Amino acid sequence: MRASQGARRLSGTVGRGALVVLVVAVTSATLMHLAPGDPLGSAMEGREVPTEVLARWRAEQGFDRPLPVKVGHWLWSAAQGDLGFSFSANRPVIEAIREALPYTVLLAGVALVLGFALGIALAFAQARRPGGPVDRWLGDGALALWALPEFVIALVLIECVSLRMGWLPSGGPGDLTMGPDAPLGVRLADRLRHLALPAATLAIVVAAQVARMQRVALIDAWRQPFVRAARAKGVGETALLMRHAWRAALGPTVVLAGLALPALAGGAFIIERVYAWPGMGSLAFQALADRDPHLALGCVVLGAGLVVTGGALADLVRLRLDPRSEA
Amino acid sequence: MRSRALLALLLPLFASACADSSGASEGSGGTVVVAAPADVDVLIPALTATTSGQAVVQQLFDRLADIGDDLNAIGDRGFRPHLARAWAWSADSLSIAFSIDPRARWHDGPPVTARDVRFTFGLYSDPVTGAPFGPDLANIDSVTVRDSLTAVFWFKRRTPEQFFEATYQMLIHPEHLLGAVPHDALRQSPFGRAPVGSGRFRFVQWERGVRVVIASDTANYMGRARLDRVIFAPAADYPASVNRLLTREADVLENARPEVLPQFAGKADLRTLPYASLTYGYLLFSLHDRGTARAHPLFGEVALRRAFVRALDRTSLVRAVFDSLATVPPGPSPTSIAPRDTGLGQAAYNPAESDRLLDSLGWARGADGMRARLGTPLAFSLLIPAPVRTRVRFATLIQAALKERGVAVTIESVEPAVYTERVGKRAFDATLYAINTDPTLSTLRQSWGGASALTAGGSNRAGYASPAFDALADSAATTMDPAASHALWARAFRVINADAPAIWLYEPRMMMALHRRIQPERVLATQWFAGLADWSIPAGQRLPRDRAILAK
Repeated sequence: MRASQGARRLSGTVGRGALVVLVVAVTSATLMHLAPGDPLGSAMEGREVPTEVLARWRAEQGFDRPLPVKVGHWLWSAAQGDLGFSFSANRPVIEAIREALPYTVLLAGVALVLGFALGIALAFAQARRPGGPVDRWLGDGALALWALPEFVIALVLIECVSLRMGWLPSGGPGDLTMGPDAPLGVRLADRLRHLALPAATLAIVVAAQVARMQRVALIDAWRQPFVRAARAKGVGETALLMRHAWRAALGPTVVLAGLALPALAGGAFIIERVYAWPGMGSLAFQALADRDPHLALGCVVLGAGLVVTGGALADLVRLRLDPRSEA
Repeated sequence: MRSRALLALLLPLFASACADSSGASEGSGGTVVVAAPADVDVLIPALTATTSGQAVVQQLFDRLADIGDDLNAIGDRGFRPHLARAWAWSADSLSIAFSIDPRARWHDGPPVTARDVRFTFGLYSDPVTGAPFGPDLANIDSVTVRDSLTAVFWFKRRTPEQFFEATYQMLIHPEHLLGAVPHDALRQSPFGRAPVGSGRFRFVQWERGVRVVIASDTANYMGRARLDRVIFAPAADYPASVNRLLTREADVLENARPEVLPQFAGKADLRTLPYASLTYGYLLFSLHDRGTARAHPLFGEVALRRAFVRALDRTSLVRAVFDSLATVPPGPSPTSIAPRDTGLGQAAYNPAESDRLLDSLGWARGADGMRARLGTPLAFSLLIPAPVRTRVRFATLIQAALKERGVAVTIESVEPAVYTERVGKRAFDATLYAINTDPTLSTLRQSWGGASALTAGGSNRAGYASPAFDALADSAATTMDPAASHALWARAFRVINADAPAIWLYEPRMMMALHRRIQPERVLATQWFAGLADWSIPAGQRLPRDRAILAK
């Protein structure tokens, strides 16, 4: 009985998710093709490319077809796994995404782990003495970091850590001069050096959000009867916090993680651009700047798919952690 | 004594053991990282449209001959042999036979032959290929193969620029690798991502959005490139490129804009290098009403355009935007290829004369100082691409300058894709336009010739049509004597300057920022990267990364 309920719920979630992705795809495809501007314009860089050549390129890309045909054709191809050809990247969209996605998954993964670890640690420090000086200072600090635009943090870090101190590179995924024959350890260390600043920038923002959310949830859990009962049984404060209150307070944080991962994986637009990180954010930004409809749509649909998947996974984990939330 | 003799014997042995196996000599070696403005588009020269792509493919592939430093495009004077070691004109000058250097080899081994030249012409001239420069070869009728090392170009007409047409735009492609690829499938072919050329550099690696690596072809018939490696590293935006140079992750920033130059001051290991370019910018008027045959309500009137020319102090505008890094061009071309005459008829800044002209046209000032005629205000919109800072600054200054004359200018700032579309459709009143031209004045016939004044999507964005200009330009472009040709071009310049379909504003003096150890042999105005194979890094100044062994 429970198994069939679970299967029904899962199929319902998948169905709703697919519908959301379809609506996003249709809307985005229509808007992208309706938007003013020449999709081939920015590729020309002020060169006088002959009219007949441009017409040929437009025909190749299907840009000269009526709007419903363009949108319908793209949706039909996308449903069969073909996201089209990117004129600006000069290769199939799926290939461009395949190249960019690992960079973003690495960046987002490291930023999430760092951000959540730091955020949860801060929340613990605050929740120990709610309203105390540590709570107030850390709370104000987290709020200030949350309020700051990410690119400001990025620019400050680049200015201080890269340009003034020269400790870490200012951008890119690795040493430009390093060959594929470099030892694995050297390449790994190099990748970590280049990852440090963009990951730290994103982690700072994530940590500020997590800290505020986790603090409230922890304080709320701290007041629950089961925590008081455990305390009455003589459970120590640290064990109380770690084993009892935290588990009950994890729900909102899990939801946040579920939504933050696709948001970051969909592309930390500004951060990837500022740090010249060749991930999904840079790809999507360039697609929009170049008015490359196929590539931009590929990025949008992937982002929508990740948000839907992330939300569904977060729900599943939340249910697992606290079956009462099913109602 | 014996130990010294032993040392003398062992030292050369030790030195030879330390030397890499790349064939490098004392004068060659080193790595240059170029902070590129954007990733390359495709590495097939016939299809490459972007400057970033051209910078790479021109290292990998060869022309038959290279234009000289004086940028002469008439006849073959100044052209240097490259893939063709010699050439011979036919008696009637309607064909040129190029003798291919027998030492030339593709990087995968086979020799470069006349068949490759014929194949390349077929590639460029086939409309199905969609080669951006294909239409520039319209005067070439065909290319035939006389023998394996002789390719003969047959021309439709005798023109002064036949040789230029045959050699400047075409980089020779390998038939043995591309011959079986349909022309409409070329863009998607694997060759476009891992090309094989015959140039002094060969392709090594392209990591999308990260770097393109090319390495010296050590056995090249033209001699190995003096640098071991060049790495083109695109950054997502301009500040990121500048940061790469400031943190020494990159060695060369080809376009150091005026606003970033102070950041390089005081950096002992960095320097700046000025070089000429063939870029120029102008305020372009639409002479027709939104692409129709009707005259534009304002700019269809030549006297009004002349009043605007006199209203703008172009020298001060250029100074305000570029400081000393630009000058005012003498007409519709950069100074380096313009006629040398001093009196090309450009009207000087004269606000009083501008006011007098506007008054005489009936544009009277109102109480607020702004002009109107029969209730219609003297107002227009100025279209600019949003992210281009120089044009935003020019637009603001022009708006202020014309306001003083009683003209209301609305700046319409749009994103690049929209800008290109609207300029292509001539859907603007006036726009700030910039172009990077070829080293020949003949292209002016496309940009300003009456034949394309109303053609949809044609290069004549203003819709300018002057029989006098057309006649002079046609005569100049077909006159064999360079001096006579220049005299005709000077007259054409006077005509177009008097008609003022545009106000010529600036030609930037480019500034390269680079690491001090790098010695550029020469930087041509046509393309900064043209002489990259002759750039060098003195052995004593090389960094650890300069000592990388060439990839096999």
